[in-house]
Order: sequence, then structure tokens, then C-alpha cells
Amino acid sequence: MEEKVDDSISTESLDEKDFEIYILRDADKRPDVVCCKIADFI
Amino acid sequence: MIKSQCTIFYPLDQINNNYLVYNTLFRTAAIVSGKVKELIEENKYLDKIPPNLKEKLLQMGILVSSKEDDQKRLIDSLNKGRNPDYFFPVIAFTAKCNLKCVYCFEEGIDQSISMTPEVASKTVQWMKDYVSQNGHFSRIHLALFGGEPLLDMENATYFIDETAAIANELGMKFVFNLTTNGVLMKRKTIEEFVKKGLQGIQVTLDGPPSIHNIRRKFKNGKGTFDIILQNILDIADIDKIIITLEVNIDEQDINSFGELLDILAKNGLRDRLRLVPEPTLETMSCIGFKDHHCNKYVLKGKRLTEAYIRILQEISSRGFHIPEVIGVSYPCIFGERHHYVIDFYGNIYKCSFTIGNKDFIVGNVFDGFNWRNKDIISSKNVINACYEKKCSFVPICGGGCRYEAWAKTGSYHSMNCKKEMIETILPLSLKQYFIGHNTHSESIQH
Repeated sequence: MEEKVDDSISTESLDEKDFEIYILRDADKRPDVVCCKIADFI
Repeated sequence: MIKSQCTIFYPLDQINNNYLVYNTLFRTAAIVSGKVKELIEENKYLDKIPPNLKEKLLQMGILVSSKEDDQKRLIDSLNKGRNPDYFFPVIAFTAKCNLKCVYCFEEGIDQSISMTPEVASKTVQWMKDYVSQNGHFSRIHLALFGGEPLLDMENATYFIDETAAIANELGMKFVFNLTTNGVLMKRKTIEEFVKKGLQGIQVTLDGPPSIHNIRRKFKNGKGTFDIILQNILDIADIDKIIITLEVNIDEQDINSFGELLDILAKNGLRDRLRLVPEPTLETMSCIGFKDHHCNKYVLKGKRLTEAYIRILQEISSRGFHIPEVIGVSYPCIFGERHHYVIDFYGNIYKCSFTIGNKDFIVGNVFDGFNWRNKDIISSKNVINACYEKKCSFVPICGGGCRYEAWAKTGSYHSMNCKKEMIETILPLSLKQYFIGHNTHSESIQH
């Protein structure tokens, strides 16, 4: 028996609006990773 | 190209079908459409994402080039977290304390002891040797701890000045913190400390007066709330210092947490304090004593999750700042190199919670490290086990607090997993943190 492939995404039409991204924190804004006790102070 | 193991999606609104996407390793965050979320999660339709958006998602660590790359970046980052570029000594130079708190983890320790000049001098020498031998630090971050450190100003001043001298001699920055019960936290003392490099103070209020005063009291039973609040207000305008307010949360005070926030807001402290609600831990002194405060009131399992939900709701509804991540923290000081706690006898530990327990001593300032205990200073195996379980939260949890793992199971090597709790509370804190208080964001159109 042939395996059923879910191709709902591949066939669905996608418009430009679907690919908008609203960045809340970019890669260069990563906060310092510090140990749990020091984090209490910074 | 695949989705990173550390990427998680949380639905924002059903009408627009938008999602908050967050990467726990890079701490990046964005809002994307439900369609993009589906394409990423399905993995096999990534070619449908426009190249510029794909590039951005790669930059943010939401997508990665391969599973191997994902694992390498995670392990590299966790190793970096364990190998910071600063030296972080916590000096508990006195066991003296003016309070008798119901959950004190130093219970049973002789409270007449302070570090002798000989031990203090040897401690400074040990720190100098350590920094010289392990070099390349950008700063020394000293923490004054006790007992109550403000009861021993002689040692406090000695350690501030001598540690600053080490940093100065070796070309490093010097800052220090103070963990105090707040009773002796007078403005004049704090102003003097600021001149010497004080960066932050941690003080504790456990609820409104009716609750705080039965938990954090003088030895004669008198409450401390009014004194501590007044002392906080007296230094609130010294803007060079961060004032962290720890609230130890358990069954006894969780219902009054909101009331405490109302008092703080009424006194103009809403934007001045950094709130750190921490669950009361099962301490060494409570093990085996069923009537001990911690055994009676400690929050566990679902109750702990419910407590964090309540905390976030109370904070949010009153306009206080929400922590990005709450309930877990990595790196754990147990696993971090260059972090040590030294007690009044010169014994060296990895975590302040273990002061007084000889099983956790990793050395002393006279003889150096006792390498029989070196295995307790690594959480590497736990982290690897968490990664193998494909957990998305490893970078923010690291397998959990090692002390708590020991208190629960008798082994500091056991996994202290809080995945179920994180799955419930992380979306709440992230949505509030990024959507509720977001001020720095940008939109990219494709």
C-alpha cells in the first residue's frame, strides 16, 4: 500500500504577508550568560 | 538546513495566527506567521521560505545548517558559560547573624564565628594566586556574604580593599555585591561601598509585614519588615547600584505576594527593584525533621508551577518588570569554573547553599583544592543527558540546580528536571517580557 504523503503545505498558496518577521531580539543583542548567582546582580 | 533543537514556538493570537519564536541558546525572539512556523517545524518545506528570511532565521539561530552544527554550537556555548572571563569569589567571612529566619540554611552553624585575621590574610593570598595562575580574567566580581556581612565591617572592608588591590595590580576591573538581610543597610555605609565599586545589593522581603515578620525576625522574635523597607527607601535614589529584592516563596507566603507588590508600588519602588521570586529550597537542616518550616511549606511539582503562574500574574497585573526566564537559571554556580565560596574557616565550596557541609568542601585556602571532591564541580554529564533527551530548554536550565538535586536525591549528579514546569511558565514570561514590555524591535518585510 502506498504511503500517504501530507502535501498540504507544499500545495497551499503562500503570500508575501506570510513571510513577514517582526524581530523582538536579534542575534547581536543576546544578553550576557552569567551564573545563576551573579545574574541576581546585573 | 533544519530547525534548531533550541527553537520553540508559542501561539500569540488565533485571529492572525501569529507565533512567538524563541531560541533558548541565542535568546533571540521574533513574531512569525503560523505558515512560517509550519514550514520550519515540518523541516522538509524550508525551500519555500524566501532566501532573505531564511538567512535571518539562520543568523538568529532559529534555523541551523545541520544537527551536528546545532549540537556543536550548543556544547560550545554551554562550555563558554562554564568558563567565564571573570573570577567570582563569594566570601562568607562571618557566621554572625542578627536574625533567626525560619528557613535558614546555615542553621546549626556556630554564630559567634568570624574569619580570623590569619584566615582572612590567607584567603586574600589564595585569591591572588588563583587569579595569577588562571589569568585572562577581565574582572574580579567579589560577593560579600555571611551570616550577615554588615555585622563584621572590619572583614568587609578588608576584603573589598584587598580584592580591589589584586584586580588593580593585575589590570582587571573590580566590582562587588552585597547580600544582606537589610537591617543594617544604612545609607552612609552604602555610599562608602559605592565609592569602592559596589554594583549590587540583594535584600529579602518575604511578603507584607504580617507574613514577613513571622519568617524573618530578630532573635527576640521582633519583626524586621519596617526597618528593611525604610532602609531600602533610604538608598533607593543611589542609582549606581542595582537593588535586587529576593522573595522566598513557599506555601506560607505565596498568597500574599501580590500584597507585598502593592506595598512596594505604593512606596514608589515599582521601577527601582529587580524582583527575584525564588522558591524556598529544602535545606540540609530540614532533612529528617518533618516539622521544619521547609518540609511543611516547600512548593513541589504542580504546586510550584502554579505558584510561578501566580507570581507572573501578580507581577504583570501591577506593571512590575517581568523576568525573561523564571524558575530556572544556567550556568549553575556548581558547574562554573572560577567561582568559589569561602567560609569563615577558609573552607572552599562551590555553592553558598552548601556552607557548613563537609561533603561539599572542595578544598581550603591553606592547602588548596582537595581533588577527591573534584567531581562535584561539574554538571557536564547532566547537560549531555539533557541534550540527548532532545530538550529545548537545556541552555536556560542546564539540568537544574545541583544543590537541589542533592537535597532531593542525595546525589549532585542526578538530573533535576523541571521541563514540565518550564513548558507551562516560559510562554507566560516570554510573551509578557517581549510583547508586554517590548521597546526594541524591528520589522523586516519580504
